[in-house]
Amino acid sequence: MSAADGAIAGRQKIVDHGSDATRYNIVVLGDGYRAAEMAKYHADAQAFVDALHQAAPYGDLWCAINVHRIDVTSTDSGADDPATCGDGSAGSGAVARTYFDSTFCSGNAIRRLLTCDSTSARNVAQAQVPATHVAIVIVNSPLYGGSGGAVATYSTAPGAVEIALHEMGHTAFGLADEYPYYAGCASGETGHDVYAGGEPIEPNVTRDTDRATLKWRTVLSSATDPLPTTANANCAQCDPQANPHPPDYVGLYEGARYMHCGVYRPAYDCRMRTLGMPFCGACQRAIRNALAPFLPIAWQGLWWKSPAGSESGWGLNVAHQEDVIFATWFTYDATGKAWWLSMTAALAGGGNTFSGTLYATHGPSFNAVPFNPALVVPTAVGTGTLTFADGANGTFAYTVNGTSQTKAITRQVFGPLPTCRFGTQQDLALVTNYQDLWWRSPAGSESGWGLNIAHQGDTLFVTWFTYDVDGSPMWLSATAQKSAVKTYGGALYRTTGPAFSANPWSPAAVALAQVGSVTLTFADGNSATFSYTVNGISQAKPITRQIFRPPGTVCA
Amino acid sequence: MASNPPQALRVTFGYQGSQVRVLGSERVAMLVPAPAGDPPVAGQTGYWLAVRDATGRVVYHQPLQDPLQTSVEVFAPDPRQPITRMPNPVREGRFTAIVPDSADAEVVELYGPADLAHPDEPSQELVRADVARLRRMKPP
Repeated sequence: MSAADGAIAGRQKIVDHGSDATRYNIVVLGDGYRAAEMAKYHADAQAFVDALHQAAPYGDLWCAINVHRIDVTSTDSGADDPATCGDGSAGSGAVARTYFDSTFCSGNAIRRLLTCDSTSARNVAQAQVPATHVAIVIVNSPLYGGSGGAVATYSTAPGAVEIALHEMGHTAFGLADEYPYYAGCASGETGHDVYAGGEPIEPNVTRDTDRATLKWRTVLSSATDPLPTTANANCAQCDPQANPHPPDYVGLYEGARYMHCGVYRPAYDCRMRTLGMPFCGACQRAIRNALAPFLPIAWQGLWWKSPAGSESGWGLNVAHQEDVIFATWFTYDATGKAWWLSMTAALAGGGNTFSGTLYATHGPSFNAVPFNPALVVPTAVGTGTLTFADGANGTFAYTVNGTSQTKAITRQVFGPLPTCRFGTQQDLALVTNYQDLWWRSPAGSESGWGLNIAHQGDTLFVTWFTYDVDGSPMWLSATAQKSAVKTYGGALYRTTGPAFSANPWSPAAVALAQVGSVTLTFADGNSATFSYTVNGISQAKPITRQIFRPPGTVCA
Repeated sequence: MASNPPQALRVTFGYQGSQVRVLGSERVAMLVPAPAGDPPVAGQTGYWLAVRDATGRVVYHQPLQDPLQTSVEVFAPDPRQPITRMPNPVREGRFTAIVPDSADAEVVELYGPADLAHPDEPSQELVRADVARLRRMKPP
């Protein structure tokens, strides 16, 4: 019963979000599947992927994850199931010749303790996928069982995939168990009454009851509810009281990490306490923190012709959320009038290329009250393709009204460049860098105009795409400096310049005329007031981020 | 111009009882997870990895959950039933950890309870390895 009892039949990247060098790599291996059972194994591996995707926060972080399936065949189907076991249970006595030698009743202890040769499994995973972060072994048995450790192992019995999700919490993210006992509340156990040690290192348990220093203070459900949320009145046993709050409440519940008292958990229940429950807020925060570097860098921000400054006067604002880019190109029409085109560009054929249709849009005048989005009329004028070579360089190829050109582009730098990633923050109100595409709040209420903000240091470069009094597309821009906490202001300019198609395109022909001023006052990271005066007309509008792929992209 | 792939060290530890040693290491082109929690401070309990620079500053850390597998979890057939634990009859094994192979990394340290019978005592350094040595090692 060993690697001689089977073979490595192949591998397949079943979730592919890019290079293994920059993604979090989960490797799934099978044990106890005969060659004729590979289709079943593939279905079981896909079931794991589906369960993982549905277990928040993994779905939000999906772009960070690759899943590799290693096809391992075994001579026999199933796993060893000893006839007798230390817990007194009876098994079938089956002895299965399998590649990773999986067995129930591991160590002659507990029937449901299903283990495999974890060293062999890990070695196979790393040989097949050198950048393996965590390995999972699915054992082809209808008997319920599983185990953790260096490799998470679980059977194909209904619900057993939850074992893998729980064990990944331990192995991959160092999460502690949140159950408040060792052998069970009814076991009569001793030595688990009151925790007397120092602060546990794990991110989801604590002995700290101080709101100001609590390690999961940023995800507490209430800023004012008393802490701890629950206290155990009898430390000789588990706390029997019911949850005084809704299931997703994050607070400070006494009893965790095998102790009845003196150590606290974030939620009444959690996947690290009970299989099948969602991860609590603190566990989700820890997983998000750990996986943040694996999320693709978003190309969100302000771009212009490369080399920098060579065609100063036009630019491209990129809002990049998951696999979609909304680009706003601010340039000039054939008469030299400021003209903007927009494009929703989808990821094309994998890699770093995004393509879409370019639209010129007409709509109600910027000062129309009310602004009726039903009067906004986009007209297709061509196509565009953005291809990014890396985080700072790319090309913008387009065909507009029959003119085709390709321009090298680079990021426009006027301060410390933030790094933007999709999906790292659920609560956009907490974000302190405002770089994004913004529109009228509530979302969609004045669809048709927007504000692109590039935020570097204490400076915002703002491009407002809206409509002139005749309904033609018009853009205005401002460099807004920080004037007070969460407040930025500056002069608002209207610009004329060479037509988008001019070749060469001379920045010397660009002319700026001040038409007013702008002030942006941010209530938080997802709400602000956009105040402006244009040609003597003053207005103020609430704005919010435009999210077309939740939870959106944030820069920091 | 593509950037260079990130580099990490995959370190394999072996343990027997409470004794831990480094069995091998290899360089791998991969990213390491960001720290899942706050940096460790003196007096804490549990297991964690710390990477220090030449001045002794912690430049990377990561909690580990019982890497010596002192106990195992027992799962009830009904997933709604409580998970329980029991001592692990197997007292030796291996585990791996991934740390960044950065220019400022000087030493890798593993912290944990010195006495497995007293896991609530402040954790101590169980094993340390110079990064330069880890870079020269091979996987076991």
